[in-house]
Amino acid sequence: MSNVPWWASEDFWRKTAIWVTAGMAVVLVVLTFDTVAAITAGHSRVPAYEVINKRIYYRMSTARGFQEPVIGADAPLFGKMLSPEEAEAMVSHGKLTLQARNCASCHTILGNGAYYAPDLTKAWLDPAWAGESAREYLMVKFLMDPTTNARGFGGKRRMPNLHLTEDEAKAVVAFLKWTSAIDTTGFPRNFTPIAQEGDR
Amino acid sequence: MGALGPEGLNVMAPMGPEGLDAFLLAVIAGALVVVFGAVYAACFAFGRLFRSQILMQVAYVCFALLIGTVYVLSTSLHLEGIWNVLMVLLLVAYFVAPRMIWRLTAATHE
Amino acid sequence: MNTAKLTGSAALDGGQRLAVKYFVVAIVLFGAQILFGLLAGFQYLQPDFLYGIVDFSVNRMVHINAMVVWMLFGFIGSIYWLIEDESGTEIVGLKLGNLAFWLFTIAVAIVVVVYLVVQTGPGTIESIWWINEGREYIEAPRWADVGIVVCVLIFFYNVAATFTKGRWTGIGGVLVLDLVAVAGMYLTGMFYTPNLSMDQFWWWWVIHLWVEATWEVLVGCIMAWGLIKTLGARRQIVTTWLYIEVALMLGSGILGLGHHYFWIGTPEYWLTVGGFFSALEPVPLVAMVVHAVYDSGVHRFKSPNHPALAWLIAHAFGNFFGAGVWGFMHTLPQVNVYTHGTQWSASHGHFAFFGAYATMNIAVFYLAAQKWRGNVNFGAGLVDNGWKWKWSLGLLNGGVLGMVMALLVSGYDQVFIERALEGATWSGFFKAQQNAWYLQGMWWRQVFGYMTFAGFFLLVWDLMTIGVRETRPAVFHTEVAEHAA
Repeated sequence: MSNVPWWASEDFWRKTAIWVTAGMAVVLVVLTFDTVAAITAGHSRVPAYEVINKRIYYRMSTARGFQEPVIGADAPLFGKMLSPEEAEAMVSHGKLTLQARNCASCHTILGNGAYYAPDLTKAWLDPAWAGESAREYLMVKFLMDPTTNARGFGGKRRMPNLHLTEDEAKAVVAFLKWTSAIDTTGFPRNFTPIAQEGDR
Repeated sequence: MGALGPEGLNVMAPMGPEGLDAFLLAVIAGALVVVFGAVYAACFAFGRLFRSQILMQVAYVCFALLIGTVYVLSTSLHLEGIWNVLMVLLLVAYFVAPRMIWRLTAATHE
Repeated sequence: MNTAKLTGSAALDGGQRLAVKYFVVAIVLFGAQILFGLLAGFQYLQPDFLYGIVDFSVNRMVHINAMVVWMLFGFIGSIYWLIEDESGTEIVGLKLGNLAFWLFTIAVAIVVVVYLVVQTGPGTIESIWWINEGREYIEAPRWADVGIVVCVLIFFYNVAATFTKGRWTGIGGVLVLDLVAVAGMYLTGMFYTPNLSMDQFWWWWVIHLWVEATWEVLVGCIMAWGLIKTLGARRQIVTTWLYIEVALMLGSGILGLGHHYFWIGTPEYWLTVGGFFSALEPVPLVAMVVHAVYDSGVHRFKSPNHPALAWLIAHAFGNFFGAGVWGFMHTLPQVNVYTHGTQWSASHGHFAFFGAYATMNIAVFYLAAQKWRGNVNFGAGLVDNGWKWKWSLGLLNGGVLGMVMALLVSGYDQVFIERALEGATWSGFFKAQQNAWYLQGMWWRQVFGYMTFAGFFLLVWDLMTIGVRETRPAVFHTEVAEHAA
């Protein structure tokens, strides 16, 4: 046992395990500080909540090689300009509704969740909502009674009625509008957004 | 944004039916990288264990296949710059790791 | 009852008696996992089945939550199983441990009942506290989170204090430090934020750093103890290798976290970090291959517990293919941008969780069953030729592997149609879901799901009966070595 060279000894590897783990943890913590700053709402990657007062475009960036959200002119949701506090409250109500109604056990959002129903990341920009101006009302109508307004695109799969109140449905729409403005580094790839008025 | 380089994701941009062949190649190559890496390691280890020249040669054939797979992975994804550096590092790591692990195993069992 | 040998709980030490309780609940939850998986899978084929009564969302949530909890119960049980032996002393807080077990089990039962009966709540913070947190894998409401943390802390106290009272070993040291990380990571998932990117950033600390870091280390500790006990491996070598594996796994796994930060709003340097460390993550697996080959040349493998050994081999292969091959296949961002959030992920998830963790737990169940039956031979020449364990091994592994392959076909079809041809829109999603190839994959997944369930049924039957009529004592390798000396 004394023949074991130092680089194969128990002691050496105990220390190595500790140092490697600690080193990686330190790198992770450093990157976490940087990332948390970048993804705080209103910073470089994640929009401020009052972005729901604006039009959100999705355009190809030649510099980056993929699509990215672009914030446009005023386009108040449900015709009402909100203060930053009101906007945050509404988006937050929407996210709470999303969690309490267990949406991510059928849908993915930012690609995470279940695979039974379509991804919600770009729900706000999806061409399924016919035109830009009618979209928010169509979304509310659908959310409040998805069984009747089911659009299985030819299939039998329907969203169950989760009995959203009008406030909840509107808040979910606000949350999804805000989500669509997150810079997801080009995910989902090749996304074809809804026809955006004044954009083409 | 240096990380992936605009080129990095750009190459997948033409993913229509034609890009899909590249995609299929890439996922198969990705899977085979790990498989060949492990078969190389296993043959190498058995070669050492039985002092078998033939097994060692099989191991090196596997590693040659691994190089080929990594090449396919790199070309099908049109990897550039830092991503090709990563591929080379991967090859070096996969080549060296079994040797180092073998030495380490032998030494710890002294 | 045979008086010559101790059987049942009389054959066990205090920690092991507690462990058996955890194992029983783990197996029940394993059954629930498969059952609700079958229901959810069937809804893919017949969307009207239980529509509006027990929707897909509910079935899927119970399916994955049962999985997480049965893994945890299996791990906790395994550690209680080995702790008195490893520390060389009686467990410090057995009563407390029993209390925590019942608290944990009752909490799990209440959570499941609420999932099934109440299902959803209004969009308020109270719903998240009392009904459903709505975040994948950790849907358990906040009150249950608090309960889980309390139970894990009791568990941690028991482990740390028992080792302190007895003797500290390398395995004990790694175990205790790892449990600190297990509990600490869980805390990062216990807060609410309206910011989805922030939410998912920390959510991955729980999911990834549990599954690809701390759980791996936990399994490494259990495996290390198992090697010493069942194969008579020398402690110093095993401990050294536990450290080496920890260095390799955490060296690649901690920053491997980056492969979850490609598309959730996080900065682009994560593409490089995630790609680089994901490429390294198979290296520990390669190390295990080399090491296993070396060992096979040094030791004569003669196990008195064939089912446990077979499940350990299934673990080695499952971990390698499920985590290694299936992981690296779609982990580079250039590929992942297409596969992320498709059935591709489901294929990888089924393979990796089963291959790396379910197999390990089942192996420990067989070790426990052996001692429960009075340490009789589970090796060659079992009554009935051991057909039950062999068939359950085949059906469970074949079933899961079949599901994995079927989901991969569906996943590829989904990527092809939804992501490549249709521009990742909702209509593209549904077009893919109705494609013949996709549906056929789903259909086969269901068939293999039934096969898995049959394997589970046999597994339970076997665990209840194996070795009952066996009288030959188990001869462990260590003892062989001692007799020879």
